[in-house]
Amino acid sequence: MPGPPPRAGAPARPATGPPGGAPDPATGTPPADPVRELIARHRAVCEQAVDPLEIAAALEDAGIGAGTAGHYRHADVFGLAEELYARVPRRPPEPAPAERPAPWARSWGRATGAAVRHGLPAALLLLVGSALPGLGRPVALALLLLAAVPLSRSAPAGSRAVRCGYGLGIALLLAPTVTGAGGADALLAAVAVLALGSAAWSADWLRRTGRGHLGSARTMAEFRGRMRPVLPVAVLLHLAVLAVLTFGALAAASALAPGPGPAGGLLHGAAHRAGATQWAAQAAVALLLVLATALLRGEHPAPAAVALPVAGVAALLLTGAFPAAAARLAACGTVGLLLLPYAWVASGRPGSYRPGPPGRATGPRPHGRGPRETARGVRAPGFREGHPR
Amino acid sequence: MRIALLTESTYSNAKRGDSWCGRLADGLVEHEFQLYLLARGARAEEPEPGPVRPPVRGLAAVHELPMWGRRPAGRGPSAHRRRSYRKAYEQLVRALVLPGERASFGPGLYRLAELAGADGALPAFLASGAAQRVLEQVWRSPGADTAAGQPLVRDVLVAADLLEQCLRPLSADWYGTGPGALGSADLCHVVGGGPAALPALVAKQLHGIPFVVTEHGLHLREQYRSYRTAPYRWPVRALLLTFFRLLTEETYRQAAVLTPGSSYDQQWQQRCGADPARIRVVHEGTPAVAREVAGAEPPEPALVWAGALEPGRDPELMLHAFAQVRAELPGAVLRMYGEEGVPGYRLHCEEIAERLGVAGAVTFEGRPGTPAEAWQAGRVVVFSALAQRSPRLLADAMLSGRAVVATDVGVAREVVGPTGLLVPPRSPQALAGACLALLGDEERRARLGLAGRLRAQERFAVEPVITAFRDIYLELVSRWPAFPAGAGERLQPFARPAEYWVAGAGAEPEPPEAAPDGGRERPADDAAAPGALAEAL
Repeated sequence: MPGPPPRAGAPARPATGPPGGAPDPATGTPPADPVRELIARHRAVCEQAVDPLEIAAALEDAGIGAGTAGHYRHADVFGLAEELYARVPRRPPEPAPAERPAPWARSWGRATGAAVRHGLPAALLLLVGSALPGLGRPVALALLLLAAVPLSRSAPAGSRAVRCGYGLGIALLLAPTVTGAGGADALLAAVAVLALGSAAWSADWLRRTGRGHLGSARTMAEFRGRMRPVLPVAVLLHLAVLAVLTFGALAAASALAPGPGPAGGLLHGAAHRAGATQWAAQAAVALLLVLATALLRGEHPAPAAVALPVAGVAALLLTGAFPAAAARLAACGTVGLLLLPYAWVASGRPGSYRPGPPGRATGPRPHGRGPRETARGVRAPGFREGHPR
Repeated sequence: MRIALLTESTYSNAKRGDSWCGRLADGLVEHEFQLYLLARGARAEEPEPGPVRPPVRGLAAVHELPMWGRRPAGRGPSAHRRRSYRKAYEQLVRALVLPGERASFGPGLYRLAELAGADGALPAFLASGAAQRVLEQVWRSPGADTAAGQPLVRDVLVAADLLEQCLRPLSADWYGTGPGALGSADLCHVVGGGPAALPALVAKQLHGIPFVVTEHGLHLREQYRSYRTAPYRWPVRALLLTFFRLLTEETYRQAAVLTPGSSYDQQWQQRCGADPARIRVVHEGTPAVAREVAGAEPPEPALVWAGALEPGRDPELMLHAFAQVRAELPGAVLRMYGEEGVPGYRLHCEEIAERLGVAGAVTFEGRPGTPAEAWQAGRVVVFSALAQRSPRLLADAMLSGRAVVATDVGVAREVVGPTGLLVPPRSPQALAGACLALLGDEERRARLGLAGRLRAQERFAVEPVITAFRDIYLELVSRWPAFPAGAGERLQPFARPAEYWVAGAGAEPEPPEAAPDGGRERPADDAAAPGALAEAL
């Protein structure tokens, strides 16, 4: 048998070697504090270490083992790591660059997409509905159910049941367009659904704001405080957009088909087309839709998916007894006002702003491969055949 | 004997016959193995490339628990139990965050396990706002270790999610004494450490089942290494790493026997509080010991380097050393095997070779068909790594019968020993000197190669591993109280001879009535273990 491991050549400073050569005990007197150089080389690791073992692992990765630890007057790498941990104070890391806000184009694109996806069925129903002779309810019902299919696909998130509830609810809110409830009501319903684009934008903004505060608020109470005004502002934004859209649609309608009565200006005609009840009903529908969208985007899709069909069915049932606008006001207003406090409380919960689809858990992990996936990456790729575990 | 193998792995990996667990189960046919698998990754049963692996004969059953990823569906605890959950969780979190209260880790963990076993509401509770509030409150209390940063709301959410995933084994339905449950096993064997040890810890606490821990490459060390580049802020990293450290310490404290794969790992285990008296190094067996010795040496003086192309393997050192070899021995060539571990690193290496003027003599061969092909291609095998945590590659190279030069890091000294040349890391002169010494001396090369092959065959054969664990199992159950003591009973070691536990592999199961005294101690298990009882008669 061969003798003890021969050490070929004296350990000498590499002339052109890789950076960070080991300190050389052979030449001249050894430095008084050999660890100082080590600290300089591994400062970042030492400052961020959570305990000495982390430094020990890093030192071993850098080629400092039990043998080399002797140069630093330690019996093993653990003692050396403890000295480093004790000598280097912990330092907070550089504040990470704030999460880059999603480009505005994407947010606008999503809002436009939502408007188009909802607007097409709405416009189609409006056209068909106005051309529909008094064939009655079966045809209208069939049309509505047909419309529910594409609408359910455009639900922001959630399971199959949530999507079904969402599509059905929106289709039911579109009911006045086919039931021949009257020109203005049908137009208003179509506009309210078209304005889901604006609701999507508001919900997006709410979510963006919430996620921004997640990374800067220090406690949950502080987070709640910061989020308190955000949902009301988002709702008001949507209401304002819808008001503009509604007025525009009414003006366009009165320009295309001037109503009876004294000829006035365009604005006059538009104002005369819808009364206070209809405007109030429109606001109630808008409130309901924006809250539902915000809840769907957050982690609470179930209440939104229930509230929409309930409001739609209630509006249909009440239409028999009351005028269409009053029925919508009563149904959507009640459900919306019930939903409002819930959504407001939910918007103050940090859990509503998890990145990724709801329920998929685990916070920000931008690199895809989390620690556990890489944790077993101890084998050299290319040499696994002979060493399977 | 009924042995529960606990491991964390991908679905397809663990059930293969040539996995470590598979070889163990195949080797010890006299025992009944059940595999409890913490499954990583998707369930998708994609067909594997290559030959179909033999199924594992020795495995009686496989129980799976999906780890990581989506939280399992389920309701949270009822209102009156939520208080106990909160208290237990607070105890656990205090241990993680407050340096003065590390000792409450075990009690908190076991209390949570107990609660989860009763109603299975643990995952939903850990994801709930109540758990997040507890975490935030403790984390922000005075005395918490926040040396390098206070936790933000986002950190609380992320840490709560990660803890929920790590604690998932606590809510597995494996506990209890029914058939197929951990309580009916005679001992647990944890392969790999980390969360895989959680069920064993709970089984020991609830049912008094002893457990063995086998680690090849320490779980805790890998966590330290991988969390360094994880996208988490310092507080989350500190919390999670403390969790893994306390879990490891608790595991080492409770384990009956620890079997690390190398004495290098053993040092780490002792550092984490393992009792040296309970550690036995069992080298990882490899089927490659049966391989033929590599054929004739190539005609030109060729060096082979193998490993992933990444900074940790230090191929740059190899290139620098090779430039010096080439200056002395102009005919020398270097063949580098291995894929890129870091994107673009191969190009970097090629540039260095170009700059050193040895580009013509260095070939990057990529991934070899089999490792044997790589060793065959050179006269001397060189390892220039900065860290050598696993003995696998070194042992495989030694089994080829080629002489080995390695940097003296990690496991290299104990694996290579006197049968190869060890040089200090980061020293091109030393590495070049060692390579030249071997390239110029055919007799020494042959002598070292043969000695290395014999050494590796002796240490890394599969059979000694099987024998070692046969002994460990028997020794363990003979030392352990035969049956967990009840409330008023005294523990009785040596209540049964060791042979009692050897359930005959081919023994005909006999009806439970045939066991006159077995029914008293373990009524629930009669149906589950007819073999063991039959053997007792």
